Amino acid sequence: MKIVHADIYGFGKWSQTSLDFSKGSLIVINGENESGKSTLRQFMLFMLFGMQPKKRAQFLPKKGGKLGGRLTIQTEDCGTFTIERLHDRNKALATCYHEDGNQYDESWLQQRLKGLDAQAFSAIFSFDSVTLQQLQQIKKADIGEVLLGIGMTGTDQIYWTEKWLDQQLQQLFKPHGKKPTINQLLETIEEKTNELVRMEQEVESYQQKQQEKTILQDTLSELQEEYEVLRKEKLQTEQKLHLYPTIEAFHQTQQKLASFSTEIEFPEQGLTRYQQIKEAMYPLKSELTLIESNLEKENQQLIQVEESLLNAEVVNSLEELITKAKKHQDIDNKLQFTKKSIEDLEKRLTQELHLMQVGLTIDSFKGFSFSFATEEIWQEIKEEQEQITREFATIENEQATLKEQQNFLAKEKQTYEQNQLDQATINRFVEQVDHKKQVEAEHKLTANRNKQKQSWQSMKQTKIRNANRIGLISFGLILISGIIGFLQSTFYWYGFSIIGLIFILLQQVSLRQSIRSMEPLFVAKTDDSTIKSIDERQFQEAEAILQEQNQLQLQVDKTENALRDLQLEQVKLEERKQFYKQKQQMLTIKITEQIKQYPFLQDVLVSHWPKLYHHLEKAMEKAEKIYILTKEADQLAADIRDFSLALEEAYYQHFSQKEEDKSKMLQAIREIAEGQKYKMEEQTQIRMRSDDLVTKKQAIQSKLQPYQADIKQLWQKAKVNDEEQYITKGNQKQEQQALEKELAVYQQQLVAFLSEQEWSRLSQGDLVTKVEQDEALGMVTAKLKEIQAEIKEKQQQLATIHLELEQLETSTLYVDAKHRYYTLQSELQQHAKQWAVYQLAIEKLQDTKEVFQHYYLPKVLERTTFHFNYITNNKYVNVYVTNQDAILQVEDFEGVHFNVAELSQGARDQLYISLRIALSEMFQKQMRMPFFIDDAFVHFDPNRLEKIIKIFQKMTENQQIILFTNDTTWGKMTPDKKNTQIVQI
Amino acid sequence: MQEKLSFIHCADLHLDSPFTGLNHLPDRIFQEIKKSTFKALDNLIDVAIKKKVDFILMVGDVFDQTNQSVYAQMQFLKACETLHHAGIAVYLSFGNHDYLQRSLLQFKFPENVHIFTDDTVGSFIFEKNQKQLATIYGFSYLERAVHKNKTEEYQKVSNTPYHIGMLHGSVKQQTDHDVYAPFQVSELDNKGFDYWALGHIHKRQQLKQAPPIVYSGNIQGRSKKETGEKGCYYVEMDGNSVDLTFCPLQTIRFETITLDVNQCTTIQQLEKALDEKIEQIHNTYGKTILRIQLTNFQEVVETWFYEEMIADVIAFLNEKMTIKHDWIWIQAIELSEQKYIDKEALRQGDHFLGEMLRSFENTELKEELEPLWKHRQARKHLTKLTKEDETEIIDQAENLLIYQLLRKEER
Repeated sequence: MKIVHADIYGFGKWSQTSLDFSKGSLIVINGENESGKSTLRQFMLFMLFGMQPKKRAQFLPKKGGKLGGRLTIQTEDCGTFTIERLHDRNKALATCYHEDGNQYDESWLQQRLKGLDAQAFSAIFSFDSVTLQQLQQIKKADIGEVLLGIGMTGTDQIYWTEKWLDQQLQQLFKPHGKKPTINQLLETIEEKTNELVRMEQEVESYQQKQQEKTILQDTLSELQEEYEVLRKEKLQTEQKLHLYPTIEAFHQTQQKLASFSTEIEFPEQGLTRYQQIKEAMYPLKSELTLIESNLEKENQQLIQVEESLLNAEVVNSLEELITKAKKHQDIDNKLQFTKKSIEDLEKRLTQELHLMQVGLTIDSFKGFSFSFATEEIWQEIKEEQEQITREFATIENEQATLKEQQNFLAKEKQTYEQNQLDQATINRFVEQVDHKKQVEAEHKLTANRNKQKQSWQSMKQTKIRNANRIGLISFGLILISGIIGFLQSTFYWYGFSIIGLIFILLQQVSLRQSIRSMEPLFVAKTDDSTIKSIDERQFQEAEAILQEQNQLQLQVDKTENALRDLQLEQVKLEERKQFYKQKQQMLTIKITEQIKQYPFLQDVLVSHWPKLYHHLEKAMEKAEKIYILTKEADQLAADIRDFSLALEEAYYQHFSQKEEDKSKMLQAIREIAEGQKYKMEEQTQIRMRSDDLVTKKQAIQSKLQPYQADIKQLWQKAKVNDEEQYITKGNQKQEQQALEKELAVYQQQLVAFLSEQEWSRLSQGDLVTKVEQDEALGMVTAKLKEIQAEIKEKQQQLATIHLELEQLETSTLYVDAKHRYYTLQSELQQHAKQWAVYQLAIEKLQDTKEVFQHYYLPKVLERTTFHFNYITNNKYVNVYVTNQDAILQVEDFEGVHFNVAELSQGARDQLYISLRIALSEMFQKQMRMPFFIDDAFVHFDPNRLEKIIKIFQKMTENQQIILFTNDTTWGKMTPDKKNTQIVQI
Repeated sequence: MQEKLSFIHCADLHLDSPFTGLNHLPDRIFQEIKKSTFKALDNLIDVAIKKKVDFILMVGDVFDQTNQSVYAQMQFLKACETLHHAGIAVYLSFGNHDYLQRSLLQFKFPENVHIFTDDTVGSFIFEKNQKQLATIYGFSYLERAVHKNKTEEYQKVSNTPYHIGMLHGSVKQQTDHDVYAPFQVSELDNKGFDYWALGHIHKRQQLKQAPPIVYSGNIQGRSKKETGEKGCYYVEMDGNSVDLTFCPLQTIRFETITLDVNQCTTIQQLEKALDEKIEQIHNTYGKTILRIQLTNFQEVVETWFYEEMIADVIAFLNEKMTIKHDWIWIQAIELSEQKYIDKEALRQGDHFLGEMLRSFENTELKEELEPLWKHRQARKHLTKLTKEDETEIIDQAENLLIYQLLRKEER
């Protein structure tokens, strides 16, 4: 960046001045003291960076006119533009007029200046003789601080900021301090926290107190219960004292009871129940006794009756005998009747035998019998004899008839044979007839053929006519096609005509040929037959003769056949006759056999045999009857005998007295039997009665059974075996119960007033004495007092806790403390955050400083060394700093080290200039700002000044240098006026 | 048409909760702040009784801490008793701030109070005129965190006409830090419930219209982060529609306002601008704790700010406003952003400032803070800085440095 022109409207002593700096890069502004060099420099700074109004006011033109001006700047990256600032316009903000005609504002300018401000610019790109004096104090830190000014912030700002931040931090918080805000706050918070913790414990104690309260309440209610119990006990003890007589009575009764075995086993109300059962049993028992005595009587009676009773077998035999006696009469009668019947039958049989006259008697008849087949055999023999006789008669008859027929047929045959012709004649007649028949057949065939020929002729005519008609039509068509062909000159029409013509010709030829081949079939065989024949009459005669002869021959044959049949018949008859003769012989043998068996047949004809048989049979039946009856009569007689014997035997068994009369005997027996019957009846009646009594007895006994069972049960329960024991035990039990009841009554009176312990004592037989009772009363009364006191105490405690709880419930102390704590905590947090902001800021600031110094300082020192070495003509070889607070050190070519204070004024100035040049070089990389140098070379010898000028000339290759000086020799010193412009003011 | 049902949905009562970020309060305001959560509870009860609702749903964080002052517990018990006399049922679950309180369970709550004591979802049936009308589902935290997604456990268990879910938790984020019963809106939507009463998020919001899935927010703001009206939802249902009416309950509001102070070049002008603005707020908001952000300010304002001249103005204004009934307390004034310097351009520079600003990049506050945060006494009372705090600190440090390093005037 170069300043090429300046128009000053008014600034300090300057007004309406125009200066040009475009002729070179090293601008030497030369003027006397007070000529306005420094003001010009301020003007340039004002134009570039603006100025605070207060400061501006210093430069108000003394001679009037407006404060302000224009400065034309040439840049590498942005072309040339002119800055205009006016004190009283737009707060002296810049207006930039670019060469391209655009107008820009302050911020645009600031961007061009990369945020650099006047202060920073002064620190880097400007120095004067005054600042040279500071070198003695320059320390590493100072150079560092200068370096920090690179950019927009001044080192002062950094310094102040750091200091300020540190202050703030110190005010806020010191780790071990007491006064800073946070430390104080922490103290307060600690206090509040302790308070809060205490209160929290109180809150927790609320739970505890609640529990305590519950426990207290429980205890109290327990105590009250206890009190109530004791109160009752006291009352009871008092009552007990009143009841003492009863206690004694109880005791005595108990003693009495003790004499009884602990538990008498006896049924409940055993005696009463027993008595009741007994009463219920009395009527039944008396009835039973009555029945039993009656039964005894009946039994005795029965024994008496049974003693007089006969043995049952004997009585039965008597009975049987009496029954038999009744039958005995019938048998007697029957015997008489049978005997008479036998007599009658014998009489009649004798008569019948006599009538048969075959010489048989009753005696010979005895033992006579026929076999079962006899009647049949006799019948067969009779019938066979009759058949044989009949057959013989028939055969003889038939033989006679046959003879007659033979004779007749023989005669007839003779007659036929006489009428027959000889064979030759017959043959001739046969030939004639045959010939006549042949001729007739041929004649018939000729007539058929003529008929066929006529039909062929008519068919042939029709065919020819049809063929001619087709030919004509075809020819017409051919002609037409021929004409069309000609007219159209078309070849195929001609072809068509020619083919048609050929077709017609072929058709005509083939028709005529087929007719010709068929004709011979019908035209041949037209000649007549020429056989000679006999006339009709002769023919008919011959035929009649032939017929007659045939008839005759038939008749002869028939007659011969009939004769043959008759002969056969005759033979058959002869055979039959022979057969019956044999049969006759066998029958004779059979008859002989029968006669041998039954001799009386000798004199009886065979034809009478069956009749005889019937007579004999009847006679035999009678004989049989007689035999049976005789046997019957014998049996009856034996029966009568047996009865008499039995009767006698029976009679003598019972009676010793001799008795002949059977009826008397029978009468005596009958009486005995009657007597027995009566006695048996009596026995039955007695038995019935006694049975009845037994039933009654059983009924009563069964009625008695449950009572008896009850009694037994009662005994069992009482564990006794008889009534006596039972009643004794019952009485004992009653007595015990009475005592127990008495005891119970006492107990009832006492139970409400005695304690369990007392009861157990008392029931164990231990008498609670009156002294004891008195003592107990005393104790209870004392205890009651004690509990009353305790209750009072607990109630008080409960009231206290209640109050405490209520206080906790309604108190906002804890709430307040908590809120106070949180408010403080919030305050602390806020301060802490503020502290964090400061802390962070200072840390970052210091960090960045560190970074800057570390990075730039060595480079700056290197460049300083380089320049210093050059200016001093290689006398000094190194510029360095040892530590943060040390001032600059130099080393000469001999290795001797000096600090800045030890250097001569000139060398010091040169070192400082070297440092400033080095610094500006550092920044040059970012900003090629003009370098302002104001009267800095007072102590320079010409040699070194020359060197400086050379450095400057070198520097101007990159940057504009504006040198303010009152030394007029500067113009001469510059060896080469090129790139140097002297501005004289 | 089904029987009508009306109820109040509230959550995050945080009874007896301390307010954060408030310093040097006058005693009067401090007292009011202390009572504010209880007063909001009273307001809640008043609304419930006035609207004659059937019941109140309290979806977790009724109390602020697991250990409660007896006073707070008694206040709540008293409120429950009042509701009991008014015949209004209370369905209550505990959240991450009051995870099941042992001591609280020992109290004899009136029988209108139904507490979900289990950490698995349970249900109560609400009866009206001997008719089972609604089933209310919920669960309580037994520990500080519930990592599990609880939505699966919400299953209809009855045939009542209405089903209402109470869930103290937050919508599932994709990070691993879902420690408050994470859920997704669709999961709730799928249950077929008629209303989802949510708790835990203090900002009032409706995640879904039909069925309503609603955060009622807390009933009283407690820090600058909880601004605006705070309260409960009054819900009416008739089977066809659900009407939600928001009822404010807070007694003190937190508000953050921005004020353009471009025209202020003197501290008097600034004071006047602030005064006017505060008067305006006083007329609309009632009792308010205010945070003011100044925007578009002149460079000089920054000087006033850092030189604590503004703090003096605030003190003056606070003094003036706190004597009024509907007081205003300016908690802080912040410079929202500086316009006359391009911080980002500076950050790019090669100079010291640029270098310094760049060194702020990726700064993690740790060692820097140790002297205080690890201090024997301080560490007991300081809370860990949030990411937000850290960002704020870094920003403020940057601004401070820029201001200090670039300030022009003499020291």
